[in-house]
Amino acid sequence: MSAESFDLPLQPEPPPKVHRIGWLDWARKNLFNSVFNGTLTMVLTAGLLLLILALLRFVFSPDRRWEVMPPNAANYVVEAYPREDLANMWLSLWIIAALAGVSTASWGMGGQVSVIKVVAAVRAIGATALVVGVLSLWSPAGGATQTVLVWGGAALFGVGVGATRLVQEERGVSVARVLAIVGALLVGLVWYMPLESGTTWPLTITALVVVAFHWVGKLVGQWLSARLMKRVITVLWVLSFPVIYLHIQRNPSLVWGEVTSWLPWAGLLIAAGPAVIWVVSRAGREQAAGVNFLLGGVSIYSWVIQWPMAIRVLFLLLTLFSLATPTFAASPRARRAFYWTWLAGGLCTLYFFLMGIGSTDLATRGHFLGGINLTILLAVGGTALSFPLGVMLALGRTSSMPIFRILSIVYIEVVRGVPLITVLFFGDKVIPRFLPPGLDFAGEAKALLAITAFSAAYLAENVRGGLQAVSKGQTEASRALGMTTAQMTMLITLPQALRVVIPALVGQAIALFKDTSLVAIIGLADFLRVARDIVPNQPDSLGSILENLLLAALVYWIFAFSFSRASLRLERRLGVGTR
Amino acid sequence: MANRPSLAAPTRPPLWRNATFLKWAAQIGVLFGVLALGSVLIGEATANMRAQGLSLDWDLLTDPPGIQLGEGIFIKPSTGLEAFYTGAVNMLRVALSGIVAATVVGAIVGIARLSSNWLASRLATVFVESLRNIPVLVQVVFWFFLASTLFPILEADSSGPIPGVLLVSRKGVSFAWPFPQETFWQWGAFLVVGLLTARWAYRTRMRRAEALGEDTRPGTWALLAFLAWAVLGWFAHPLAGALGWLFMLLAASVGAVPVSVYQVVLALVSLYLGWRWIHRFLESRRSPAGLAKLTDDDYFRMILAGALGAGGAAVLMLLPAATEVGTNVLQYLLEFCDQKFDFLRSGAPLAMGSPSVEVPGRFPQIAGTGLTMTPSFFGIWMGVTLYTASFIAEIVRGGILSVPKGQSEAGYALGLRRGQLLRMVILPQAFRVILPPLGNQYLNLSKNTSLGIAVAFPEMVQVGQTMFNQTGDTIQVILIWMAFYLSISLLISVLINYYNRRAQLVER
Repeated sequence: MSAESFDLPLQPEPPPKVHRIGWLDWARKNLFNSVFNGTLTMVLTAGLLLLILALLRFVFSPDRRWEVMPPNAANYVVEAYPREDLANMWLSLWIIAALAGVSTASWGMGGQVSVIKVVAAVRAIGATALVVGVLSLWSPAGGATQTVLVWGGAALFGVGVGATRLVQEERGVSVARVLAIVGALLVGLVWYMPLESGTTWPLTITALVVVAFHWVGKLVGQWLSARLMKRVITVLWVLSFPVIYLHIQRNPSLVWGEVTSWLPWAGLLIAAGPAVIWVVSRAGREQAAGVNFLLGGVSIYSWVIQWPMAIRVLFLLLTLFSLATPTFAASPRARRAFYWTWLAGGLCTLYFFLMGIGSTDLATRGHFLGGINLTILLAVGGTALSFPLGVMLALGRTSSMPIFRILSIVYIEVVRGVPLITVLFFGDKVIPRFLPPGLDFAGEAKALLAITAFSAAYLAENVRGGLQAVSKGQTEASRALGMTTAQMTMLITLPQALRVVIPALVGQAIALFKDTSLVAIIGLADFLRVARDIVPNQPDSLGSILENLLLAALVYWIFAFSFSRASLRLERRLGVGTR
Repeated sequence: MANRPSLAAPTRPPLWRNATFLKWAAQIGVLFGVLALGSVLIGEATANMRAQGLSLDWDLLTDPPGIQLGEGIFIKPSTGLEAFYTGAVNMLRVALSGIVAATVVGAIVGIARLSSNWLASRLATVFVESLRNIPVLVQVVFWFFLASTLFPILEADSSGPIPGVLLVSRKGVSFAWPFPQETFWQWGAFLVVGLLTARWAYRTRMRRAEALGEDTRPGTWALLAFLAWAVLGWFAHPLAGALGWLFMLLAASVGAVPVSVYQVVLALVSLYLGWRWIHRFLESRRSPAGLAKLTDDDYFRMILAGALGAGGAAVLMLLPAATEVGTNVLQYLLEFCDQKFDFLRSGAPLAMGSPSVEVPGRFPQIAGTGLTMTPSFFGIWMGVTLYTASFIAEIVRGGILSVPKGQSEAGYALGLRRGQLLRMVILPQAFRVILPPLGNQYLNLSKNTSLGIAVAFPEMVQVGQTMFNQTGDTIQVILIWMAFYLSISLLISVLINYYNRRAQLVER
């Protein structure tokens, strides 16, 4: 504004001069700008060269047996899952792939990426491969790998350099396209690698499923609102894990004779739920209390006389819904949503009792969980199950009710004070002591329980931070509006608190993912144990332990690193701390 | 005023609508439920154990465990207590040396990430991003197998990469180390005096600097004072032998006083602490307008504090054994100190030992002349140290970045050099931000030492597992673990909180 008050001749500004600094200038500025930095650079370069040479000597030593990895790929992923039932595993993978494809259509893929960056990445990868290949020529072992590294690296580098000359101006290319090319290369690699027989086609199909469902998602998205689409996909993701682990992979054989005694009653109960909610929401205070007392009484009675477990749990659920009705089904619209919630909850419970608990030939087959599959189950299951428990503990710790507070504090501090491995041993060795003789859970279930109990304490502390960050004005305002404590917590305090702590919760989930490797110590066949004990002890791959540990490190690293990057992006998008 | 409606006495709501009553009914109900569940579980566990011929007693601490440990004070412990003691000492060795090393490495890497040197900052970034995203267990196992498969095989004539200083082999890494001799404690007394003198000198010079505004070099003065005492003590340490008499006298007097006196004194202290808590609580609720209205939660807190104080006093009075254990431990410690001091001892307090190889039977092994890390120790130590260092580096970096830029600009404007600026302006302020998360990392490192079980390093968890595999006393072992790790956690939290309180800004 003030510039207009000066009499400046108006002429177009010349474009800014681009200073192209040579690499010598760059080095002088960034590596040798002082005597200390110069010395440091020399020392670090020498150390780095020594380290790289030692690494290459390690990697290309004739003692290394990298070739044992492709034939063991299926062991890393599913360990001892019966190979004749492997179709179940492929189905699980395809479900995940389909959901991933639909999600990419619905959420987008991060938009565009600069062409120059892509070309630079190609160039850098090519140069690294070339340098590693050339340096490795000094190592004792020769072979195809080095040839591939040298020629492949040179080719990539050449393509990169050529493309740099061609691409002059800044242009974007969609991330989806780049990922598709990378995916195609990976599929090509699958065909090139000597994998366990019968795995190449299903893996290729997986890639095709992703692409196909990406288009399906785009098509469906045209006549469905984006909001609804995202909600449906989220629900499908949440449902997919129990379905995959309890049904598809466990492969239970449903014996109809065992369920016919209670199934009609369960269906009746689910159908009667909306009626109960309707009555309670329309009735006066005293009548509603009467219904609740009745339901609670039946619920307790059902545990005493030991009705079928599904009926007991459904009655309990109905009692809880009925108790929550005045809070969540006050308006007709909220009541409609509440009916749907009840139906979904009831049907999920029913499904769980049919498929999750129902008979299975598990006993004859031994354990069916192993490898990365088990690692993912423990990480995802532990996170999902510890979330409600952690929120409850956090609410207990910030509660004004002293006994709840003391119980929560004792639980949180005791669990946070001991290492995870002692909690795992507690689950593995002490839980069977508490059960009637002869009854025991599967080791995987006990580990999941222990991990959940452990993670909940840490999660509670994160959520507590969020609860304390909600300003007092919010609770006072909700009190002034006449909300009950339950309404205030569920509708005002918790949503705001959870939004603030999302990055901390993702960090906690990553830590949990890394911590699942501890179940290898109590003898479960998770990914680390497959890499540390199982594969290196097979006759074909005897003693390849360091190679396998490096592979494990790489796989864990890729998961954890990409999650932490995603969490950073999420943090930036949520703008926590900047609002 | 006249037509103000007369307020009827507020009618109390019926019991089932009374919020206070409902709250307490729910709480007591849940507490009862938790206690009932606990007692059912314990009853079930006792019945199950009786069926297997086990019981919930503590015989495992006194019985010979019949186990052998990889390394430590008691390789073949004669009681369970000795086994756990060995495990605890091994764990503390890893934890303490790991904390020191992780702090040093983490600080260097954290500062390097902010360096203007491109190579240094890139390497530091690679260090942090690679190590903190790999599970610590994978790292521990990797270092262990690296040491036990890729290091050179130990030969009778091995002398390692640096002869006389460092010996690297598959049987362990041994290096030269100044070992404390029998006169070390006497010298240590001088070092303590030296530390106190250094502190006093630092404060005096600091006060002078503040009063006169000149550079009085307090750090140099403190260092010189400490070194003077250290050098003096190196030659004059037999003089500290007089402390032996003092400790003997103290030990005798501790034993001379009857236990009942300690009981009464401690019970009174317990009662006083309870009373003081209630008193301070009431004071904090008092304003010039009078005592604030107390909620039921406030009453509960006061009753609980009083009950804890009175309960502690009652336990102390009714159970003389508890007090007796305390006085016995105290007496034992004093007698232990007494044995470490003697006029007649002579010789240097420290003696350098260098690594060497011995061949006792057919196979060479590392002699005890240097300080040796076994492959197990090496694995767990490298694993937890580097993993924690990568987190500490991020904390240090965050702490330095948290100091506002204006601070360093102001420092430069005052004419400080870069080193001075870091030492006097940036680091003291960064320290305040760094300290709480750093304490958390120390806690994590201590707990991660429990992964020694994966590489057969006999720390607390490995010893415990070996014990319950022998005896079946899983519940007892888990209780011992909990007590041990909770004490360690508590100790570290208390230390960190103490320093944190001193480091924080005093605000109005």
